[in-house]
Amino acid sequence: MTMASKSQRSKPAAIWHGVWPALIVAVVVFVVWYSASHFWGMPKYILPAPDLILKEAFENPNSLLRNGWVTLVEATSGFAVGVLLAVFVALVLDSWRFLEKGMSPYLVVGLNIPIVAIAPAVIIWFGFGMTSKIVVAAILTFFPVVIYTLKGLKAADRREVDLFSVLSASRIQGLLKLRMPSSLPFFFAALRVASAASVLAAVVAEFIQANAGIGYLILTAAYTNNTPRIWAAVAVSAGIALLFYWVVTVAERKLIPWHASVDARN
Amino acid sequence: MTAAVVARDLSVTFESGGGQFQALDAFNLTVEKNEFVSLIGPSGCGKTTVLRCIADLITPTGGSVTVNGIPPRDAIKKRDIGYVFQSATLLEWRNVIKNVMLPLELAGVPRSEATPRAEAMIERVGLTDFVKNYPRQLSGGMQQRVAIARSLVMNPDIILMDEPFAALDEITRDDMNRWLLEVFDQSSTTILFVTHNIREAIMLSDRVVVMAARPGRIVKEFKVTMPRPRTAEQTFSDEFSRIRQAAEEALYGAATRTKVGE
Repeated sequence: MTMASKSQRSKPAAIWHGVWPALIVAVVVFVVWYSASHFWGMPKYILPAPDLILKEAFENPNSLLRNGWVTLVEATSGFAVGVLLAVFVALVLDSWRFLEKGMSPYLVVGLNIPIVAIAPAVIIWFGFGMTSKIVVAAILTFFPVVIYTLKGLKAADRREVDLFSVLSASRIQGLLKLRMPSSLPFFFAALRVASAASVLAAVVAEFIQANAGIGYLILTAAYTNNTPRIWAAVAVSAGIALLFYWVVTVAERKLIPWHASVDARN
Repeated sequence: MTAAVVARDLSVTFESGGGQFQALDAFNLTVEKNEFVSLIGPSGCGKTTVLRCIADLITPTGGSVTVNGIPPRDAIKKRDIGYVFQSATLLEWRNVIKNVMLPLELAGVPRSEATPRAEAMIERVGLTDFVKNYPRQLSGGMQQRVAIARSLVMNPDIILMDEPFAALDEITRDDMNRWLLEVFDQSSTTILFVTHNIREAIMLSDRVVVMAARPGRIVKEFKVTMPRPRTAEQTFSDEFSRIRQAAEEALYGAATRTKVGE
């Protein structure tokens, strides 16, 4: 009942109610930052003034957009490849206990590989172009998704498993109608982790060797001490990661509205 | 005519922490067709174990069970058995009608036939206004009614109910008991009902079977001959109080003996 009466409140007012604390924080940070640069003598090479960063972004939008686009494509492609592969592998391992037992320690190792360590090798295999970045992003996506999905496939309640047994469900029915739906909350938790990780992976791989992308842009700006450009590029990469996270969250709300974690965040 | 359920010398032993736990010992029970039988007893007396053996969720260590004269596994395959668990066990990603349709769906009944059948069953449990609701939007009593609708939708010959109303408050429980009596009177199903509420057991049943723990076994049986349809007034009848007293004696006597034996 309380839920109904709350949603009676007009929508714009409700949104404003949720947003204004964040806005106030933004204004305070902006004022302090602006004052630090312009009045309190913070050197430009440490942190340039926010208006300088904005100026850089609006004067040279093309390189930001072009390189941002490259990173976005690398991250999303790597994410897509990694997720598809992870789901496939999770289903195979799930139906083959022996293989799962044999593989699971290595999956944990894979989850814990520091990405910087593997990126140079991948670049040697796949070259300087986008492919190597896509592969690195796919690797970083693959491990959390495969591990969480496997876990999710076993997450069905014991009583629900009994129910399916009493209802004489076949193995494939159990998979499609019980175990896969039960795994979705785990799957989406992994996707949220992987969405941030795939952007990180693409940028870090670009640091190592690239001819385009946000990482490349940051590196070249650093060579010329162009700090406003560095920070503008950082902002773009953060924007890409946020956009990505937001898409995953919206998909989660649409696909598993029944789950408590979704409900609690609304 | 074969009986709905025949359990002969049923025994079940569980391994627990290196030791063995005798959940059931030489358990014998026959449930006739269209009979309502309650199993009542303290926790650990193996009431649930009996149901799980009948539903092929456990393979007994010894003895045998038949359902309509065939082994439990075959009865499950023929979808002759409905099961209501202690918790509603609804799938949280399905709304009420989809939950009730689940058994039909798993049995391959086409949707065009399954939908009206599920709707009719939901009407019977009085939840027509909630067909599109998700389980988390329902109260405990409503969830359990959905679970019962789900167990009835395949028209099983026998329904096993494992303390379905244990989690409900007294008032809701009385409501559900009245409602279950109506459902039972209108159908030709057989019900085997596990509870630890004596009043509930007598009100609903044709026969009350009292069990004791360690090892799980039957200590006493009472026939309830109060005419159907049952009414609340019957709880004041001589027969009700006589059976209640005797059942309590059997139950607490059994419980005390168990304690002394420990």
